[in-house]
Amino acid sequence: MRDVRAGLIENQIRRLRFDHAEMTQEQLAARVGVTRQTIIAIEQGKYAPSLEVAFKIADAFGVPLEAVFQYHPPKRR
Amino acid sequence: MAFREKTAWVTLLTYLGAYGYYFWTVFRAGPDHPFGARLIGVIALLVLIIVVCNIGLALWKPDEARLAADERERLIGLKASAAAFHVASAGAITAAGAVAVGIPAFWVVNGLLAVVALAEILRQGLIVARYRLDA
Repeated sequence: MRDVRAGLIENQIRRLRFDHAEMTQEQLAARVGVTRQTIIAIEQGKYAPSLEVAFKIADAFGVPLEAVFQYHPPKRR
Repeated sequence: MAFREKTAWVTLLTYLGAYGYYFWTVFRAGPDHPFGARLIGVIALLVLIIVVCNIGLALWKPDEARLAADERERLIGLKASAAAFHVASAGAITAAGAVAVGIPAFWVVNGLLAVVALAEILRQGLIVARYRLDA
């Protein structure tokens, strides 16, 4: 469910999971309160989560939101 | 595979099978043959299959079944319902027009039923497609 144009929002979830003792997608999903499939979709950039879920993901890693998600606005012509 | 994707597959395949059988037999028999009993039987069977399969899925994966739909799953359902609504409303308007010009009840009833089936098949199909694309 790509709500934004491809490539506009990047995330570091895969790396953060690795840095947190190889946290599994299942474990992250349980902490955030979503399904594992939703974590997969977010991690792969196929779904842009709500602010609430984005904050919960950041909270699960104990980092600020911008350490998880980075927004790259499209270049203006 | 997410629990809601599994239930969408069950509903989609059951609708395709049940309504496929119903329309195949009813249209082959033609408008002169009564179809009410068959219609009720197919709908009862459809509901029974969906309920039994959903209970089976819930018993198989109780942890997944207990989880409420998350925001992405709700969004998938809403988008699919919105698309199906257009099909259903177009069918309802067409059926109203058919009644107004005096089309026989056989065609109006079965046409309406076909639209309802098509709308649900579209809804479940879109849900399954979105889950597959996001997988």
